[in-house]
Amino acid sequence: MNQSLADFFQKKKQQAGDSVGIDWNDRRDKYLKAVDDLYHQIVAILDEPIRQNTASLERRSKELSENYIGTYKADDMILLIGNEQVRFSPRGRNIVGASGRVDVIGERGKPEVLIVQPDGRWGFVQTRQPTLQVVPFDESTLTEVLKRVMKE
Amino acid sequence: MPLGPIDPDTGERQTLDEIREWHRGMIEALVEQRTSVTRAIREGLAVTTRFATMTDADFDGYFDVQQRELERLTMLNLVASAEASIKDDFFHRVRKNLKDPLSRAYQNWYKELSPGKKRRPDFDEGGILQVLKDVRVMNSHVVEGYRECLRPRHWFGHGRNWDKPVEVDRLDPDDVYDRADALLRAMPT
Repeated sequence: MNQSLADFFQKKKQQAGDSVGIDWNDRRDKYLKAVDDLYHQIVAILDEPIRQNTASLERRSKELSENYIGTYKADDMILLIGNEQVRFSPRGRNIVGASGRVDVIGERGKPEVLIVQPDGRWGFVQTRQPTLQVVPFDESTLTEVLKRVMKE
Repeated sequence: MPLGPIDPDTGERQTLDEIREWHRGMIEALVEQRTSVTRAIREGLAVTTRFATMTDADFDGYFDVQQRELERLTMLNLVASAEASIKDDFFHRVRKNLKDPLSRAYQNWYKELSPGKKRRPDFDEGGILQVLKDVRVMNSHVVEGYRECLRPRHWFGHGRNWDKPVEVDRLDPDDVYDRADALLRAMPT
């Protein structure tokens, strides 16, 4: 390596400063753990309809690719109700203003967005502009979102 | 005899170089914003809600669109700037009754126009550029090179509500600058 290239790399390293120390694998693992926790909450909320066979859940593996993290596997969770399905689909850890995102996609097409908030809990994004408004994920907000993403 | 309107007091003419400098400045600002938001994602910093909840891919797509729109606006401005220069030059040659071959060709063509067209003469097909090309005061490929920029210019400037001309994706601001600049430099004094 010539001196010019070495100097260039050294300058870039100095510019990067603190971010050099980011453990991207740790971030990925925490995100996957958060997604798993979310799925367990969904299973708990839907326990009764699942036992009554009015709904069912299944997981399907897929690959995500993100800058810095690379390619990794994550599960979609599919909720089957009658002839319809709703997909909870991880979109990634590196999200502007959040520590992870899962989209909720029904037959209406337009996804609802779940993000990991600063306190580590999941929340549904209600508006992005002019201000970001997020409501906590719970049985009540999940019900509202399912009504919005599914057909009448 | 009606002559085209020139109002130097309220016009805000831009040169090709001014437009190119503006474009470069805007690109630098976009790159800066991209760097800043990328850093915010990495380090968990707050950013404007415009970008909230975007993924890497959303974010890349957003900036690609911004850059594309900036390029299109720049191309529109470049073509329009050269068009204004050519039209100003046209009216100058007609008003001053200059004697060079281009001025005479303009004057002869101008005489045949209706009063309405005398105020707003056609520019491209059958218009000023056609006279400019036919009188052969410059290499015809210089005129044709610029004329190819007019189809995207009309598409950008008139609402883009018809099929996208192929030149839109073939040209970039540097191409358009070069073609417009070549035309203006080739104009006889």
